[in-house]
Amino acid sequence: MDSGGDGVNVTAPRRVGGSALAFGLLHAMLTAAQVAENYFLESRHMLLEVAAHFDRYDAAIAREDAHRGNGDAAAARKLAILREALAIVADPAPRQERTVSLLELFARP
Amino acid sequence: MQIIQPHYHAIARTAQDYERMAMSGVVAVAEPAFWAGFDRLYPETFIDYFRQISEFEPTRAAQYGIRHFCWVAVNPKEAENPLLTREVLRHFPEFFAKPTVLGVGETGLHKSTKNECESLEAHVDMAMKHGQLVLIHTPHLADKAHGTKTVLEVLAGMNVDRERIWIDHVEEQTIRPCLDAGYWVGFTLYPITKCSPKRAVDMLEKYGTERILVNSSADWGPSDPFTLQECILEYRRRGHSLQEAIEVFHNNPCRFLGQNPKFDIQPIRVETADVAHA
Repeated sequence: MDSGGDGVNVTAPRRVGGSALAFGLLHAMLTAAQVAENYFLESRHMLLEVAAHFDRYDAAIAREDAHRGNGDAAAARKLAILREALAIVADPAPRQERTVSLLELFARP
Repeated sequence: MQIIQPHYHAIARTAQDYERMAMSGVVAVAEPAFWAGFDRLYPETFIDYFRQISEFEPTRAAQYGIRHFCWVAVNPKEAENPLLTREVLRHFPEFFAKPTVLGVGETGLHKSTKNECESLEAHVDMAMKHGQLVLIHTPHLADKAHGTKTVLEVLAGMNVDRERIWIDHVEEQTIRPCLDAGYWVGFTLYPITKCSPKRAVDMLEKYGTERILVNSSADWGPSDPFTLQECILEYRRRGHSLQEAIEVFHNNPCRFLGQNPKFDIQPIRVETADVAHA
C-alpha cells in the first residue's frame, strides 16, 4: 500500500496588496514546489499509460508482421501525432501554453 | 463471472464495498495483514488485529455471501523494531490453526534495510517450518526494482518451496526475474501509484497467465476494489474468452491459495450447451 493523506501544505497568509478577494486567491494558490510535488504521481501514472500504449502498439505490429508483413497507415499516423504531442509536452520553453498547442495539434485535419 | 480478490484489506473498506463486490461476482477475498498508517508499539495490538481479520471479518463478509480468508505478518514498515517482530512472530502458530488463515503475509520490504531483510527471512522461515503459504510485498515507486532484487536475493539464500510463495506488486521491470525464479507473482491495480488495469492486461498478454494473480489491494489509501473488475473488462474487451478470464481472475487464485487446504474453492470451467442435441 501507499501512505495516504498527503494533502497540500498551506503556507501562512501573506498580504500583497489589492482586494480581499485577490488576497484570498493568492493565499489559495499553490507554490511551484507544491505544483511539482502534488501532481508528480498523477503525471507519472499518465506517462506510464502512454508508454504502455506505444508498447501495446509495437507488440500488435509484431504479431501482425508475422502474418501480413505490414502495419496500418492510419494507425501509424495516429501514433505519429502522439509522438509529436509528447515533444510539445517536453518543450521546456513553449511559445504558448502546451495544452493549447496540443489541442491545436489534435484538431489538425 | 465468478471472481476471487486475492489481496484485499477489508477492514479499511465499507460494507457497501462488500455488497457491490458480491453483486459484481466476487465470491472470496483474502486479506493480508497490513500497516495501520502508524507503527504499532505493542505485540498485543497485532494479536487483536489478527483476531479481527481471522474471526470478525469473515462474519462481515459472509453477510454478502463472500468467503473471507486472511494472512498474518508484521508489516515491513514496522520491521525496524526487531524485538516487537520476534514477539509477534511467536504468536503466529496459534493463528495458523484458525480455519481461515492461509499463511504469512504481507511480509517483504519497504526500504530494504537490514532489519527488514531479517524480518522477511524470519517470516519466510516461520511459514516454511509450518507448511504455510507466503505473500511478499515489494516496495513501490523508486524503490521497487532494488527492493524486488533484494527480496529475490534473500529468498535465494533460503530453503523454500517457490511454488508456495507469491511476490506481489510486480510491474514491467520486476515481473520477469520473479517468474523465472519459479515464484507466483501478483499485479496490484491502483488508480495512480501501482499497476493499471490496462498495463496488467498488457503483461498478461506478454507473459501468459501461468503463476499470475491480479488484485486491487484496496486499503485505506487512494485505492479502489473495482480496478479488478476494470481489468477483467479490459481483458475481455481485447477479445480474450470468458474461460480465459476465469482462469486468471478465479482459477489462478484457487490454484495458488488452494495449496492450503483451508482454501477449498475449486477452479471452474464454463460449459456451453449443445443446442442441436438439446
